[in-house]
Amino acid sequence: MILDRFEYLRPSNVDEVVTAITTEDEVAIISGGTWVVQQMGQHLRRPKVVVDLSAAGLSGVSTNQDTISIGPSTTYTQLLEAGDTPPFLRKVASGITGGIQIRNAGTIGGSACFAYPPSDAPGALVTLNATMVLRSGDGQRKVAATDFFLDALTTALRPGEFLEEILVPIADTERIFSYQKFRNVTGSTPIVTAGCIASEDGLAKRVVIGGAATTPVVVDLAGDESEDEIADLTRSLISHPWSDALANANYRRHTAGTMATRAVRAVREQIEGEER
Amino acid sequence: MVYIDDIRLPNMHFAGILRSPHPHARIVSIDLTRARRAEGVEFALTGAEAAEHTDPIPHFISPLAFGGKSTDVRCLALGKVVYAGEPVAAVVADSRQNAEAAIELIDVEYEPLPFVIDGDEALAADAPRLYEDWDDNVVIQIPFGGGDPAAAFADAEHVIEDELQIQRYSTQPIEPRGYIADWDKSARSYTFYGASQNPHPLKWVLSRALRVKESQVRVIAPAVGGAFGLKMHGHPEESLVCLLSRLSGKPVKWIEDRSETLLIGAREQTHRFKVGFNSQGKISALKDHFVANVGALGAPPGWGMAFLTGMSIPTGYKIENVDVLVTVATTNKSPWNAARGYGKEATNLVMERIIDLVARSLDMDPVEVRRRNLIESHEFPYKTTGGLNIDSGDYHAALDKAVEMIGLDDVRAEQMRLLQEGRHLGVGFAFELTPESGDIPGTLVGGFDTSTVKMSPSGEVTVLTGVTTPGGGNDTSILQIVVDELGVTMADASILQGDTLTTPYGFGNYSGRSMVTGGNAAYLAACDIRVKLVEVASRILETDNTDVELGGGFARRISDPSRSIPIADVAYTIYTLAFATATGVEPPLESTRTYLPGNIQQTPDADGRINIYPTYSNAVHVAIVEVDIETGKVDLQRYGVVHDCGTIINPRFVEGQMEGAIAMGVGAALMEHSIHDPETGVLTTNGFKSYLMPRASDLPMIETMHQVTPSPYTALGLKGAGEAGIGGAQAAVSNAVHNALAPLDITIRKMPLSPGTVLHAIKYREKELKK
Ligand SMILES: Cc1cc2nc3c(=O)[nH]c(=O)nc-3n(C[C@H](O)[C@H](O)[C@H](O)COP(=O)(O)OP(=O)(O)OC[C@H]3O[C@@H](n4cnc5c(N)ncnc54)[C@H](O)[C@@H]3O)c2cc1C
Repeated sequence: MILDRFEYLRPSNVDEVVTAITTEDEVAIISGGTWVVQQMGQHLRRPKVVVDLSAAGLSGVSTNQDTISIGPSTTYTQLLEAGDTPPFLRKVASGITGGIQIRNAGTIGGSACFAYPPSDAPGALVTLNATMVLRSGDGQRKVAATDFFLDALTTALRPGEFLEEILVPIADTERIFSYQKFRNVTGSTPIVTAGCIASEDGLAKRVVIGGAATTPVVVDLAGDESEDEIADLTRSLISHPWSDALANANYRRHTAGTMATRAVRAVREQIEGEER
Repeated sequence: MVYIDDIRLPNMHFAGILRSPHPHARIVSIDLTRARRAEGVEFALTGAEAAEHTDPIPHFISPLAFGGKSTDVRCLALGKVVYAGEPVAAVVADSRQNAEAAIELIDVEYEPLPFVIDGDEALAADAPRLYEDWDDNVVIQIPFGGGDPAAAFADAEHVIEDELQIQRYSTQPIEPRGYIADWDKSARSYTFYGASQNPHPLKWVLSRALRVKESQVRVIAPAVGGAFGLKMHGHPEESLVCLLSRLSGKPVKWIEDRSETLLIGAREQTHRFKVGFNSQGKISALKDHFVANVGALGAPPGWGMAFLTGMSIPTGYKIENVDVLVTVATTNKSPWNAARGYGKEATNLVMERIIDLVARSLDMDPVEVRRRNLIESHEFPYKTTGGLNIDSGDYHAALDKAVEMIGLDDVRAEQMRLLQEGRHLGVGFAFELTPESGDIPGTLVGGFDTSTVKMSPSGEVTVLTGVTTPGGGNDTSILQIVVDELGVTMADASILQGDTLTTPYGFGNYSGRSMVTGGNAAYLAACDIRVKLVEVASRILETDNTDVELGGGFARRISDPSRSIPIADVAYTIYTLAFATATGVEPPLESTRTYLPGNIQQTPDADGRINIYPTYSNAVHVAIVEVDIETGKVDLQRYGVVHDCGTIINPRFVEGQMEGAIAMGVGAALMEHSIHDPETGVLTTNGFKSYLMPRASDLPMIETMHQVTPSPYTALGLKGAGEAGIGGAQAAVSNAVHNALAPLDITIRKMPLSPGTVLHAIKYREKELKK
């Protein structure tokens, strides 16, 4: 149960958002609210000001020349329904659990800004080579997804700054891909995710692991490694493992190798299938 | 349907309960000053103040009655806390929000003490002790068994010794606990609305703890949204909410948070066993010494589960030399409450793992090992070494049906084929014996129950019964029995349960007893009324009373069905023509009867054994799984069960019970686990994102087949159908996983079989094989 009274603001454009969050008081930005409201209910977060982004025009997917623009408040359902959603991201959205409530309320930007290691979004955005567009009173700055996730539950966002837009290079969205997600059971958060999008020259050269470490881990490959080599390399790169009641660090590290292998295998099989 | 949280009384206030963050600590001081001043707060209370007004909560099953040790359990901790989550202080405020905000303003100074959360460690001589007046942490040690185990082991051709750790896990009804207490100052009485399984015994408990007469307490248990044992009483919040109402002068509501439901534990046991058998797979000797970690001793009946785990060994197997020792250990985890299966699920799991271990060591078909050891149908009633007198069954027929149902030969062929591809399919069987409808001597766990059936002058039927429904449909099934007997329709009948002011004294629901006791009692009462209806109908229809049948709302001549009269008219005649047509038929149309099943033996026999169960349902479960040996993940692909609960009143409800229990058993086998942080002693699995339970998509369709072997000891031949399924499913799935891993020759000694545990076992084994 939420205990404290707070000021509720619902800005209707980006400038108003900047004004609303520029304050000395503790602010909670709400996109879909599936994390924040829960945290407030458990007294883990006690903001004085709540800024609801739902009227700020921050949702939707559109294509501009060589990039796809994704509003941070785009829900998983909207990602599934929008025509311009990168196929890889549509696949990710289709596997979000929590039922219709979470798919209709939870947003890609909310998940990214929360930076909870087992979530799908951080790894997915790094896989897509996304750029995060951040805005504050000082203007806009762009941060690569790889640099956005600093630690578990920590991002490059500064006080008074919010995520305004997510940009995905279009070239990366048209190629063969695989997304492997391992969960204990339906009700469990992801334990390890592995995303792989084929490179321009048609090889599996980059796998991104989510869930195993505090931030997404990029595994760069030459493209001709054996599966055992891929698994070993992946495991060796998990330097800051994540651990919780569902799976310990050892298990996650091991499974990261297994999932990386499966993602690469799936991409290689599709490439071979196309060549045939 | 009305659940507790739907009830709103005028001027209702809300309780906030402060719980200990420490697993073991002395309470140095509690300062309520800030909390008392907080917005909306009416009243605040410490444990010391509560103790001035209350007595300890009576234990549902006192260990003292069985020669064990006990301790005073109070509604708020007094002097020290023995588990993280123990209630320490409470407030009453005008909203839940204000109550929760106020408890944050209570200042408590604790002096943390060393704590122990592991059952084996708690038994060490130098372990921190929970109760200073005890000389160890042992609640009770109870032996069971018979024959000459030592000699039988000496003679055995083969002996296996092994271990199985069953995790702590619990039950999670959709509706959490919730209570509302309303103290009426002028009548000096409490009305207590509670999600309770046992309103009448709870009334007694509240009267003892609150120092009032039973007549000053009325308990109303409205619809209960699932119970599973968790809503049996002894919880501190029950009497606490009453006390808060009396001292604050307000009706007080408390609704449990899910994180609080998850505190209540059950089932953690470590079994160390030894089995002796010959080359034909016939088992001659069994030893099982196990430790149950029951957490701190609570007043609910949780600890008794361990007692019944021991008593139920060796289930339906004919093993005559048995040595069982149950050690019940207290630790600084939160207390247990009863959990569906009530300990017998553990017995079934352990026995079924033992059978599969025997089969594997002899390279024999596990089905065949079961066949060679199960009690045969002509041997009933069969008295086990634990004292259980098993009523009836045809275990071999059930086993054959399960083998056929699953198409075992085809499954095994598929298994071989997939293994060539490096895939690990496994099939596991489990026989399950579920003693039901128990009676524990000297406690208010009664083996009988009482129902009243009434018919009004307009022919309406009302049933009042001492058994309650946790939402499983016993209300409908009991009505069905009555309606069938009286020849009326369901539309003319209703049932009342759960209100101590209106229903006959009864024990509520547990132990698959509702139909056996309340159902049979209603049947007897309905028979009494039927006799009167038939007598008067025969006079109206001018025929002999053997020529009258009741059905569809009418009484009619059997010899000439065109001569009929509405049953309502017969009832009206009995009430209005008592001195004419109905003369000699005593009004009103009302009967209260109690059903005491046969076979219960409260007085110990020559060997000191008692039989606390009248009837024994049984089942054979079979599960097919595939294990991903790269991740350790178990995929449950098929599930079949052949179930025998004697006579079936309503197959839909029986199947519903079975399916729900199997889902619980699958959860127990693969995922459900209450974990405490060893550093802090605090429960970490405090929500459904960390305490995992199976969802529909984790389960295959459950294929059910019924076999009916009526019980000779109950009136309608009913056995119970509420508890069976958990141990059977846990065992079948576990055996299937081991069967899938048989090529690697792996035994996993720790439940649940989560991906982490399975993968660890595989990796460990691979390392061993390399050496
Ligand atoms: C039952 C259940 C099942 C779930 N299943 C999955 C799953 O399968 N996979 C998965 O990945 N996740 C899952 N989640 C988590 C879910 O993805 C995230 O909760 C959701 O996407 C978060 O989005 P939101 O908009 O609701 O976040 P919010 O709660 O609105 O926000 C999250 C955080 O981000 C901040 N924030 C939000 N928007 C911005 C912004 N534009 N700029 C700066 N900060 C911002 C907020 O202040 C907050 O700290 C599940 C959650 C639940 C409850």
